[in-house]
Amino acid sequence: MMLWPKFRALALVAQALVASQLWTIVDAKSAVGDRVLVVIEPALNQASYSHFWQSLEARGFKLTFKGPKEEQAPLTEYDENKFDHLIMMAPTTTSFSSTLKPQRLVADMTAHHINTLFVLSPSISEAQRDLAREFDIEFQERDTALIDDFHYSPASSKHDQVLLNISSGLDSETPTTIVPSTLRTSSNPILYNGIVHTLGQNPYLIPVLHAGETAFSDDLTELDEDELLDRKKKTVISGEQAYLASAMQSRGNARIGWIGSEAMLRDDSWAAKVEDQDGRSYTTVNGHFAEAFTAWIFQEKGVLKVIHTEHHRVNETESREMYRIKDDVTYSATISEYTTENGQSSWRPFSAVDIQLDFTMLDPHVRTSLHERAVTADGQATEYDVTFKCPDRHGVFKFVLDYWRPGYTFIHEQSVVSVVPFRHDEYPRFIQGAWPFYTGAFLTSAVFLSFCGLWLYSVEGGNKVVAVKVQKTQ
Amino acid sequence: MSVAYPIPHVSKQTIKNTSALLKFTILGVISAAAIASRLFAVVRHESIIHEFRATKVLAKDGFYEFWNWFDPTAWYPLGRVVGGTVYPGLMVTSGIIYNVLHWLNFPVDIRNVCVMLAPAFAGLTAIATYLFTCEMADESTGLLAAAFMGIVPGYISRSVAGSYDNEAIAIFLLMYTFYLWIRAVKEGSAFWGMLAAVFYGWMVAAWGGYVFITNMIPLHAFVLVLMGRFSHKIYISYSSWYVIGTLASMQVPFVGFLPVRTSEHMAALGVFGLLQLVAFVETVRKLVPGKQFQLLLRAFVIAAFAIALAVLVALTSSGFIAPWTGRFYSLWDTGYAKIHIPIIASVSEHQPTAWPSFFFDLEMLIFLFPAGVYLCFKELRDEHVFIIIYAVLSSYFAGVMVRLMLVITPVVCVTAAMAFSKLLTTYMDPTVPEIDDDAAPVTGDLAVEVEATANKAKGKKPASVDKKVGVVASLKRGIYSLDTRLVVITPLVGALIMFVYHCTWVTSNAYSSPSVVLASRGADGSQHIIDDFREAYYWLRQNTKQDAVVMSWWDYGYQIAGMADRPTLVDNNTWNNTHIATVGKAMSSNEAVAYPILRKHDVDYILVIFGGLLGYSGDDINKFLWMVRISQGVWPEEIQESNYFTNRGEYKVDAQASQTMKDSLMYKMSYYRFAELFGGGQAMDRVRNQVIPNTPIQLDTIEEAFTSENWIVRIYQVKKEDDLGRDLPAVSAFEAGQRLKKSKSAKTTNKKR
Repeated sequence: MMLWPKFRALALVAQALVASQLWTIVDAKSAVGDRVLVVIEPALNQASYSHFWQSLEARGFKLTFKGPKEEQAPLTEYDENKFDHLIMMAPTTTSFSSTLKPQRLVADMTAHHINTLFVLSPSISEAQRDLAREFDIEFQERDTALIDDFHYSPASSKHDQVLLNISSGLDSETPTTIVPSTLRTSSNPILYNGIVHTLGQNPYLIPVLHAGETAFSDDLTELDEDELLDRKKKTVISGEQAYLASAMQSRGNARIGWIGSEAMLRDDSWAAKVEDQDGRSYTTVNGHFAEAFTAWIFQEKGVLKVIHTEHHRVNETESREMYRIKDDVTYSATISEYTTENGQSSWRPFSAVDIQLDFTMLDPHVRTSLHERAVTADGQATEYDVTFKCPDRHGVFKFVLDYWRPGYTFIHEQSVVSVVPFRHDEYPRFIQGAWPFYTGAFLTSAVFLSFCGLWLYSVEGGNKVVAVKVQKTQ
Repeated sequence: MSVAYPIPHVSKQTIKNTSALLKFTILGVISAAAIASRLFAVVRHESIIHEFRATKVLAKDGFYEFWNWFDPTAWYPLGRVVGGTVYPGLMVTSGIIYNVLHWLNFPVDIRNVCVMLAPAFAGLTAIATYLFTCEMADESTGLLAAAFMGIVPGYISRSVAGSYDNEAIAIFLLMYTFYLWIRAVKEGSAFWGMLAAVFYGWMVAAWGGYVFITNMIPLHAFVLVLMGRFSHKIYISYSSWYVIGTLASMQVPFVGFLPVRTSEHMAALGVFGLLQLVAFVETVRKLVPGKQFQLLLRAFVIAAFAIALAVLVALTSSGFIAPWTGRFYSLWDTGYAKIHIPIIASVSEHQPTAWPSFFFDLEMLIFLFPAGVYLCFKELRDEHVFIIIYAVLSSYFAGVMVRLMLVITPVVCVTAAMAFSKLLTTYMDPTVPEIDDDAAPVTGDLAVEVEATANKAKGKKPASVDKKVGVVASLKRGIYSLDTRLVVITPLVGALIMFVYHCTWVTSNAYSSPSVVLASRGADGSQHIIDDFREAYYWLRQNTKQDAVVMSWWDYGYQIAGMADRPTLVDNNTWNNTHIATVGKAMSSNEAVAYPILRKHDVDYILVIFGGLLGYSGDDINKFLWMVRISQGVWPEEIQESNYFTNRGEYKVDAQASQTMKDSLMYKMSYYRFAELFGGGQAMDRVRNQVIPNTPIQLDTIEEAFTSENWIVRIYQVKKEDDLGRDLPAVSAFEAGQRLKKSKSAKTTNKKR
């Protein structure tokens, strides 16, 4: 009896090794770092997620495990990152060590850009629900779960072992960097046994996976009379409102993910053979999904970087701090994408048609799209550029390159320049329209001069002068 | 000739030489005194000067770079085209001095040139006053006027060392232009008229107050014409001044076509036209016989007047000539500015002058001023008419605006010197009136007697005075004895000495502390220097990014730019009312309204001046209503002044303050954590003598970055948007440990457990 679990664990490890050779990836690595802190509460058995750990380790991550109340191994120390990523598997924990307190955790996420995966379960604690609310995510009450009476594994009589076909759980906004196309077209389902959440209006939230249209959230426990009455008043969260997994990318490009089911990552669901209510048999794609999701969260995919931006006048190459109004200015940016395909991670050219440039002073004065020009010599990035005319308005302008697309790193590049008016000697010297004034000026001068001449040397005056002179000399 | 006191016998030549030497020496000493008395600030503190970046550019890069200089750090993000929006006279003058000194191999720093420019020009002003007064009266009066001008506080207030302001050179130019104009009128020479025009051009380049000259000189000419004193002298001098002067003024980029397009300049143009007409009429009069001429003249004058007026009205209504500006209206209607252009009224020196400040700034001169004007009426030569007009106009303007005390000061000095000099010469004159023996003894009223004798005594030979008791000798009006003289002269000299004391005291106490350094005296007489401003500006300079934008009320714009070297939103060059109103709106709104404004303008730091701890009354809370009014002028729906008063209409900052007031960013920034300073005791604001409530002030969108030693300067940093997309009050609630009971916008179920 005592040996049995051990044996089972060993068998699972062996199975996982085989599996990992099939799916996982050599050489793959995160773009930001490979130190992962896994906070796992004692109630969960670390060994029962071995496929998950192996999948991560195979992708080059170094895992450090600790309990939610352990003080050592802080995420950041003296303002320096000790870890790059965090997996928070503590759904039922109500209090955390000082380094993992919600306030500290949020500060680390925002200031130190720690990518985080929250793994939760139907026995979710209030502390975790509170924290999720900061991200505008509302987890359902404790002891509720996703139930689907049409797609389920008969292993549980409550119909809470839901089988979800990924294609029916995708939102139109779900980016392909998070759920790759191979997964989208897979006919195998995800085995989901967990709680669901709803998403708020926060613009940084990215919907990833919602429930099928026949699934809904309901209590797992039996209800008494009062509770049944009460339940009639409450909204049923179902279908597209009920999210199983969601993500957020903060303004500082920290990626955060939520999965409402720790069971989903367990070895027995990882790539398990399941039967549905009608007896059809599938191999679950939980492992696939978890890998794809963590690959995005831990910055293996969809990472953009601006290698270089530059602005200069047309026909010049040097950047200036000042441009003149109505100058023709060229702005160029080199953008590279980090992605992982078939186990190979690399920086490669990023191709898009919707990258825009603003030339802004208080409001955008010029808004234009950047055109893809060429791939750089090293073949790792794409050069974009655009030429436009400076507005006829002097002031302190900013070249702003904003590219915020869900699933990709947010790009915000700005450089400040002054746009100055014409110099005093840049105005036209001679104006055709001013002919009347030129003529007037010269005519007046000429007439005045000739008048003076006439006045001085007119015959009458001349005689007088002579007469006076004559008188004097006498 | 009998004398009241013995006079040493000296040859006329010696007297002439000595007086020339004395004049020269005295003038020199006066100039030196004028310069020296302005150095208090530099000697006591150090040479502090804020805004001479434009001059630095001029000295470093040359005139054309200065002309084309675009300053991206001022009026962020609009920037400022300095060359086109500045009176360049001051910078160019100091630039020229700098270059001349360097050409002479004096390696002077441009900063020192700027610091010493005002005192140096004050010395020149004394000399200009001397020349001007000499045209009105004699040379001793001129010396007296120069002495007055040299040390009178009304002028010192704007020309102490380190006050690098347009007025520093403008008063010299004003006096010198007037002197040259008087000269031109007297001589009737185009040469002097042209010189006047050249200095007028310099004045235009230096100070917006040139409009005063633009209207003074035409008014003088006009009054002379009305008085029937038209002469070719006036015609020549005025025409040459107007033509050259207008052309010269149009060369200044900032002035440009204003001289032909604004109402302020139309008087000069009108008088120019009038003089042509009058000259023409005079010429015609010589050629046409009397009777027909009268008819012709009348018809002509009426027609010309009507046509000119019609043209002016047509041009003004069609918009070619700009109507009078608001600043001008505010001169006539002192309440106008407060309603229509609060930005002008908000400046303390644009307030009407209080009576005591006339005495404070001019001391006894203000009492002698009417006497001098009276003396001008007695003589009433052309130049005296000028003084009278000047006196009347400037007394009105000085009453309207504190700032224009500066304009009245020269004329007060001149007229007071005339009065004073008249008294002194009368009573110091040793000559004793002679008594005529031949005159029949008369009984009766002494005055009648004297009058009668005086008339008879004309041309009679001098005779010895018979002083028999009981016999009324025939007397001439005059001063006889030494004691009479002493009785008058002694107090006069005393008054002069008092004047010097007063001037020195006022200069030293009121006008010589640089505005960024406050000095106070303890109960034991020890001096405390309060240096919060510089402390804060240096903090900004050392601890913030080079391009961090600092928002403050515009009063501190130049100081931040000059001493902290950081971009500012608004500064003392108040050219854009809307931008100032934007700052006012941000200051007077609550955080939710202010934050988007701050972010839109890339504001990194906000600087407020708070005097409540120390009792420094020139702080932002006292200026706050002006911020409200100015922004109300632009956004009348969003900001209303009445919301900032209590129900009883009081402006309060204590517990009774209105909610709008308490929510305003300015209030919050001023009193943030103020009550904590008193450790539970009553938090007393010492400026307004009100108790600040103990309830802590919560700041969500900004955080305190720096507070100076005496809390005068407080600097706040504007927070960035939350990384996770929450609003900032939610962030501070979260950080304070508050639980979020309900997601902000996500759907929730409300199940009772």
